[in-house]
Amino acid sequence: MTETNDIGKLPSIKAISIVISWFYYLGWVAFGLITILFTVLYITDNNVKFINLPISISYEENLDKIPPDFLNSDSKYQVVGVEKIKLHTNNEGGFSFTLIMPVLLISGLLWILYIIRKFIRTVKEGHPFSRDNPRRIRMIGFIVMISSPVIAAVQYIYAYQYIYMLDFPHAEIRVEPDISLMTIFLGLILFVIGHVYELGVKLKEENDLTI
Amino acid sequence: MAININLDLMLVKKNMSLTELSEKVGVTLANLSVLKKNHAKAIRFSTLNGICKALNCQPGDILEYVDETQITKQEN
Repeated sequence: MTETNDIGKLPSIKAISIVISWFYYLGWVAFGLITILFTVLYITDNNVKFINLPISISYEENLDKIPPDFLNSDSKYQVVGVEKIKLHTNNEGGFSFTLIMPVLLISGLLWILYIIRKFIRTVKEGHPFSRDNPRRIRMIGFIVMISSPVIAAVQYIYAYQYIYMLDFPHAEIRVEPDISLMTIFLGLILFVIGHVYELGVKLKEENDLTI
Repeated sequence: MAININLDLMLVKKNMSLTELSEKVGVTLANLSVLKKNHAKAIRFSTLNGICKALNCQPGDILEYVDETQITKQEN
């Protein structure tokens, strides 16, 4: 027991704890700010920007000339870029999408930070091998694993709402969700670490109850 | 657990307190309490040796095997 208590007093653990706490509180501030900022932007400007949609536009190779200007002045949707287009919208869907994405991302991040804080608290208190910690590691793994597909799914749904509004002659327009395999892989690794940690907890319990 | 610890019985027989035993064996009172309440998962030979020496008894006097299946059958 004394060994685990010593771990809690390590400067590195204290430093990590402080950093995580800062990120956690900053996350809450960002959460509040984003909601307020986007609401204010929507009300004052009636124009919400920065919508990244996974829509790709490709032209046939034999086409002589790709239209130089993608901007369609008649449409309220201005298209910027070719591979990853940005839509500047002023409708409800655009607003909710712009709000959903950061809210989803920050919620996930805050959730992870909250779990890490609890985990570090157990380390500082000198009982890192508590029964809750393997579950916490697995939960972080789960959040990390589903984050990318969830974001891709939201992008996919919204991209399909806008894709029919785009009109490019001789161009093929596709929705290509950007799923990060790295985060899925990282989540799986955390899952495995969680299971290994659970074995460690069982061994520790057995060792503690050996008289 | 199929193995029962009869430490409390032996302490009464030998007229010894748990604190006294912990001092003689060199095991903490908390650990001996865990052992007495049958919550321990394992017991070291050195601890068993110390307890037997302090209580002047055999391991069989402290440890007892109980067939759990027979107990559940009797209960049903």
